[in-house]
Amino acid sequence: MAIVKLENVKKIYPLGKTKVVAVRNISFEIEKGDFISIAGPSGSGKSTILNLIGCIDVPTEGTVEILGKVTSTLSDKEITNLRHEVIGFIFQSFNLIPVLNVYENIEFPLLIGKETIKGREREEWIEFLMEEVGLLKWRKHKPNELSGGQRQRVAIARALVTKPRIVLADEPTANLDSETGEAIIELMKKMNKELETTFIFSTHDPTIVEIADHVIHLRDGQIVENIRKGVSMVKGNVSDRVGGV
Amino acid sequence: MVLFKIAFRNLREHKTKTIIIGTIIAVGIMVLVIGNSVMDTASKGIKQTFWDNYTGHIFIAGSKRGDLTIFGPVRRDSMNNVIPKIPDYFEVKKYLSGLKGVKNICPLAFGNAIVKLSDETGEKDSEDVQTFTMLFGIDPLLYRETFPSNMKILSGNFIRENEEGIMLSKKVADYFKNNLKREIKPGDKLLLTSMNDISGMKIREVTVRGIFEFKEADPMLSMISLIDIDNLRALTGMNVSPVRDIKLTGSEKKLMGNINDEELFGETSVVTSVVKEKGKVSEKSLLNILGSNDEKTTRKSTVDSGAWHFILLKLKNPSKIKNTIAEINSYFDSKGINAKAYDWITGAGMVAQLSANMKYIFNVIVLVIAIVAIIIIMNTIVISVTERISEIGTMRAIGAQKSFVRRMIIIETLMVSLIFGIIGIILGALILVILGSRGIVAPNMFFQILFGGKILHPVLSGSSVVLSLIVVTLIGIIASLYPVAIALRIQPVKAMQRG
Repeated sequence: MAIVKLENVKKIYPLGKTKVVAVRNISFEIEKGDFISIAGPSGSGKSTILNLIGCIDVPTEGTVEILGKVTSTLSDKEITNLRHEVIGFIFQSFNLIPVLNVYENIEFPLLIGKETIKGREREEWIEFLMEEVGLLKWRKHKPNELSGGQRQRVAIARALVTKPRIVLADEPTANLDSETGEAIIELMKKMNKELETTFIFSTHDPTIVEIADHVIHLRDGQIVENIRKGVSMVKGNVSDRVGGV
Repeated sequence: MVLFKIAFRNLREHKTKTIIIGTIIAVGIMVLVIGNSVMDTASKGIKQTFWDNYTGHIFIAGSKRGDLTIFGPVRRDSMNNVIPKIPDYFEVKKYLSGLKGVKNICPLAFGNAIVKLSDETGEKDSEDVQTFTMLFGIDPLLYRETFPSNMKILSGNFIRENEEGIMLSKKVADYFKNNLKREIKPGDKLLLTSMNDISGMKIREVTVRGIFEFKEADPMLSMISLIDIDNLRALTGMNVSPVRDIKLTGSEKKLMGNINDEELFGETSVVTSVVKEKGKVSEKSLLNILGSNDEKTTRKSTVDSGAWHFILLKLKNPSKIKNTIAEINSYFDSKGINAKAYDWITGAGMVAQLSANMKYIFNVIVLVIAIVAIIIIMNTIVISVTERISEIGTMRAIGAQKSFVRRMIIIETLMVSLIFGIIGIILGALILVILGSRGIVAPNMFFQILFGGKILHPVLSGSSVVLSLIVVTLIGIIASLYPVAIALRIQPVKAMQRG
């Protein structure tokens, strides 16, 4: 069963007196454990699609389903809970809380909602994540004492701390040099394999796109390519054919 | 817990903002604590002083108007100039004596008089030297029983029971000392002249029994002299005793000139005009000049005529003031007696009310300052929130409910308010310790009245601390309302914006 399903999605943003169609005719499905890249040039609609999947925006037309729930029918509270329990976020600008140290930033999502992991178990879990992202030694450091790559590692650990089914990463390598960027993507892939978490990330970097198992290419707000590595490849506007490829 | 951590670290991180907000709060609260403590100390002092020395706990007047004080009517217009007597005094006194919890009953009457040295003293210059005094007509025994230690007797003795005479205020005595080049001594005779709406002008010659000053007097009280009630009744025209033969003193005879009884009492008339000329006294003025029909130089009558303006009560337990007042007033109502019991503040008049009003005015000023402070703090937090749009958006994106954001902003504002509010309280307390040990000298008469004396030693009042804590909490909550509203409008999508 698909954990993410977009069907005929259209998103229009008002821009002054005019309206801008950010994406249209978007339909695809994402399976559990996918490592998927939403690729395309700037303005192609990558972020819009991530926002829609991340439940921080709703479509103007069509439906977005996360674990079978249609996001546009949920209340603010329900949708916040869904984000907290099901989705982890990695942002392009890292978006760490500046006054919290590495350990506290990773722990933060566990403290703002339902307490799922407690006490010693929580501590061990955070330490495991810090070890996985290679920041055990930096646990007491504040974000401004870390490099860009280290900050993004903190963000990855924070995104995984609630054990989400899906992790969304909006251009996670955009603010990093190519070597660090690749290392970050490799780390995400490693976590994808180890924890069976679905990773969806947007990028316009072709090198990074290659690492993904499943790539959706966008141009001008439409899907132009939906490729699943080792399975099949579809080119052109495949919005009517995606999901089954 | 994480909210407190974030709030505290944010305040530490943004030191300049925190110090600006904190200074406003700390200074404001310090002023609030000092101001209220000074006023609380003053009003507490005034309250205790008046309880112990001047009004007792309860003040009963022969009127339900509520505009009477031990110093007479609050407003001095013609309608209010006459102070009504306590009706059915003996019945009322009997009732009050039987009332549980009453410790002392002290009847009192009030009047004003112009004082000059009697001609009989032989002072040549005394004619032109005169001054004003306010008079409390008292029963010496009951007065001393009720207020045993309210005065310092500087010379002579307190008026004895059934003795006529005046206890002259030091201020009045000093006036004569400075202008007459001679001190007033016990045994001297004074001429008191009083005017009132009932009986016009009255003159009495009264023997000085002693000179005194109230221990904790304000400028108003320092004008008070104490006089036996019979003389006060005569001066204020409140006599109810039967007509008796009178013996005139030398100065009274001199004042009246050569008028025989036939001329004097040939016909009766009501007179209100004032006599200015000596020796050429008209028939009309004589009744006024004579004042009382009572014998006065040596007070023979020991029977109280029952004419009193007020009754002051001291209770065994001051916490029962309210209940006792209610009990007395329901008695007055049930008996149809036109009298009313009030608390001491009504009796104390301007002094106590000024103190209460000053506190009110001060707190209104503090409220205005608090509103300005709220606006400044609110603006600073709004700026802080707008600087943290991405952070708040991130929190919302990763699953923080709106209530979490709301709590975060409120805790942050409350934390800064309370921390600096407490610093303000501590600073205020320290300054009060210094002021308390050194004392604040009243710079003028207004402050003397307000302080209840010349020097005030303020102490930190619990109520000012509680009030300050309430104020800082309210400042914190109110100042955070608008920033919270802004923060709640921040959408999770803001986290995605490139920053």
